[in-house]
Amino acid sequence: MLTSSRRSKFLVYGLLAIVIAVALLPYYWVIRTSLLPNLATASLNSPWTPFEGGLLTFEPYITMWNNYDFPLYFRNSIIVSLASTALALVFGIPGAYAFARLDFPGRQILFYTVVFTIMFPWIVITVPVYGVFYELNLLNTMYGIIIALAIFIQPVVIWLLQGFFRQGIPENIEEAALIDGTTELGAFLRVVLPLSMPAVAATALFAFLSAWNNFLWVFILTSDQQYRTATVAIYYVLASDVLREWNILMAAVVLLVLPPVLFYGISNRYVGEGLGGV
Amino acid sequence: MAQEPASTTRAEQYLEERTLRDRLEENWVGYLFILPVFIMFTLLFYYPILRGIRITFTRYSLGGENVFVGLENYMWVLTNDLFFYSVGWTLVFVFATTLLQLVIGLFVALLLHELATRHRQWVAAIVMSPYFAAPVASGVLWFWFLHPDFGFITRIFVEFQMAPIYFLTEGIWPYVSLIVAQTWHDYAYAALIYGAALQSIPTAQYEAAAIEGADRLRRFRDITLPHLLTPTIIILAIRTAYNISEFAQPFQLTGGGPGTQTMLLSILTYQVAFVNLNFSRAYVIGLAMMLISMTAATVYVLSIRTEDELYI
Repeated sequence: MLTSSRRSKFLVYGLLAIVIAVALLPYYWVIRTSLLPNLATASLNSPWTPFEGGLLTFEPYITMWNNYDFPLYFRNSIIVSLASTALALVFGIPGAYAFARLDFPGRQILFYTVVFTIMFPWIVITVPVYGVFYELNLLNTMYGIIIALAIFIQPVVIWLLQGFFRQGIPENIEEAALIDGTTELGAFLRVVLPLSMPAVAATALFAFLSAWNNFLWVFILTSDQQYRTATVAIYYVLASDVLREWNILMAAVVLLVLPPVLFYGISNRYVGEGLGGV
Repeated sequence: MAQEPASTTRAEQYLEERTLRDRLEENWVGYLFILPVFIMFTLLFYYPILRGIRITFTRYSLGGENVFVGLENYMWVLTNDLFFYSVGWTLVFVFATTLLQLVIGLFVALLLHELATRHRQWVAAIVMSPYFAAPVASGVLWFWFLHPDFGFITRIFVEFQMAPIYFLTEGIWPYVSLIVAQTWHDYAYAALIYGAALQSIPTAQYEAAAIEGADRLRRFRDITLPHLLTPTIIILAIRTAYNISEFAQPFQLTGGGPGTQTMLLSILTYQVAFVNLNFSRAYVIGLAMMLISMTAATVYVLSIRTEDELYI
């Protein structure tokens, strides 16, 4: 702590208020737009807040839900995110445990390749992957996207979980189980896994939201409208010049952004453990 | 006294025997655990990387004949004006955004650190919130925020009776807008890492220094700063790799435009591959991107070798 005097406390609070304003201002403008009737958003005198002139309305949300295909897009987002999270966890949990606890030869090198995977520019890899998926007939399918996303979020899942396994589980517990006669696998399944449920839950949430937010893979690997997730749909809507009712568009953006921001905000303290402990 | 050397040697001998073979025997099941993961990685990562390199030497066509053309694609890229322009602008973009993210992230982390813990968590949640919006959504946010007719900034200009600025198409503004939007989205990353580092500094050190008579600036310089050195290197390395890969947000915000003025390497790769339908040349461009980001990744790996935590 560097501050002790009241004056510096005020300074800190003041500066933080500015930071909060900067962080929230773009969000605010979008939310405000989503709560206004269409004419109001597109006029040069449009109100600063949705409360002026009694113009506040939830109609953009209702219209968006009823008249455009957004229910389909959000449904796709949910399905794809859930499935790829499940897949990534099924493979990632044992993998992370192995990296954290089992000291097999080559462990460090193999783990560094996981690190490289995270830092790799994925746009580059879409080029050959598109070819691979073309040959596997996985283009433009739900399965294809789910597999691609699962592999995309896998490295972060492993890295998060291995951090927890390494630091969160006392070593003695495994040794006690081993002494009791269970195998490595048994120790893992019966002792470690139940203990790590909170961390697994936090990682699952993080993975789900990464998949939810993903644009690149869904964009590259699908072209049919029926497979689109909400994240990609927003891009197409803006790019197509057809929908120019800004309030409806902004309502869709709000719905798109709400789950991640809400959940990350709430789970901040748990996710923070893995991300570096804020 | 005479006994000690003998027992040490025995201990050393015991340790030596516990190397490769013993670790293999004890922990072979680890390979089983990681096998599925590496199968997945091979499918979507290792194999495509290598295959891509092979593609660069051919004129690739989907499902058709791949004619071998030697270094033709490389020559095309290396004599391409747009490519070099893109490299230059990408380096500027990455340098500017990484630096800004680091500075603002540090600033925010220092501010947050001054708060009591119960306040810190919800303020942190608010302040970090830009990071959790999807990059493409962030692009839409800023697109609307900077809209020449109805955006927030334009409305302020109108209030003060100034002429609006076309932030996404006019002069130097597209570049500035991209950098600002990207920084807004990602500064929280640096703030998170710095925050963790700040929290790991034992308060006892500050107290001891205060008792010794060190003033605030001195305490910051001698206690805080040394603890921030490693996180800074890590942030520089990781953010460089991430910023270079950045696609969705710039793509949504300007799409490389106006014209090709803000054509980042990532967007150029996309365009050559999926608009011009030239996979081979796109991958060559991609190799340039890989070079830069893998250099950053190497710096990162070398820096954390002695660390306990991996910050990614």
